Amino acid sequence: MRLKLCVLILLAAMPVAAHHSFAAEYDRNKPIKLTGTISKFDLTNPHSWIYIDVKEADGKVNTWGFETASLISLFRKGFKKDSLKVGEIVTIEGFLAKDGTHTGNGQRLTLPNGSQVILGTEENPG
Amino acid sequence: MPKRRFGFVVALAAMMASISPAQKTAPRTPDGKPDLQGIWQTKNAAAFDVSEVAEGHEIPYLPEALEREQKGDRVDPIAHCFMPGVPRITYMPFPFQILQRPGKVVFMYEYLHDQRIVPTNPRPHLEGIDLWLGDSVGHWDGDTLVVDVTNLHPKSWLDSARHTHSDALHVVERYTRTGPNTIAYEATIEDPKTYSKPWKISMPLHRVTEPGFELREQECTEGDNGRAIHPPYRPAPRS
Repeated sequence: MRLKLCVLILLAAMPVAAHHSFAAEYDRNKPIKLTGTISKFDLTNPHSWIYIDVKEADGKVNTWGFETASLISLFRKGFKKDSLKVGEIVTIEGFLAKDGTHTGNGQRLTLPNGSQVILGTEENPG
Repeated sequence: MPKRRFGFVVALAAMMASISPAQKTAPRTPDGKPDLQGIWQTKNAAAFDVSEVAEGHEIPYLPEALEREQKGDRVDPIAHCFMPGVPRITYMPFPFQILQRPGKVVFMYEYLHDQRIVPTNPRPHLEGIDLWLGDSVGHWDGDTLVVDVTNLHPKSWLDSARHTHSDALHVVERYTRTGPNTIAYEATIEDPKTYSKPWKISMPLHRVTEPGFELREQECTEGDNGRAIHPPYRPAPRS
């Protein structure tokens, strides 16, 4: 029992080892999945950002920003600089920010052709 | 003379005969490669204006590239602490150390603690990524280390004078030991989206001979007066 608890604590602590604390900014209990049009992406370090325009239920369009792993981490998971195109409709899965803004931590992106781009991993979101 | 020893002497004589005079003088690493190890630094103003060290002091710009440059960012990326790119990292006015291991040459730059670990066995360049220091692949051409550099980030500049390039930049560097305290450095710069033809820069690298000299921390923090050190300016054209 005690060992199990230790393992759980260890797992919970893992994201803290990333560049900055996932837990401080994002809510692991609030997974989100949004579809929208890519308006911009910044392949920057230590984290990259992808912005999509999402049409909400009330018809309003909001720009959502998703933080991803660093550029070289994305590259090692198969990402190329031409993997994304502004204007493309994509689906991003990730976790909602705690601050209530239209921001999330991106985990996975699905392109129009169905292929997926890994943006981060739950264990090490970057 | 026992037969075995005679054989050894013959082999040694044959080996010595095959060594050219240049190879005799150039220091070697244990694996027989030219020894470029040491702490080196340039002594010129190329970091401010690279045309100072360009052949004919000319950079063969395409008209459309000049136009792009005029519309582009006017703040030197290094003022934001971005890495300087290649070849600019070589002529930043800070020392750098070369270390060699079999199959690789390591460049450790004091400036921003940048490093380049250059494999000297052939491998293809990376595809689909722009990196601030690019992707370097080396090989030995006789006594010269040749480093082929691609994947350079299009936002980097070649100097503070806003000489720019595109993501098609291809730099071929040549390092040749010319004496105990000198390396001849040459870089051929080609970018069909920016220049009408390849152009070349050359300069000596000087060994830092101060006893006990070591690389130290050379940090850059955004907003830390970077612009004061490297003002964005373009000198008047030469008449």
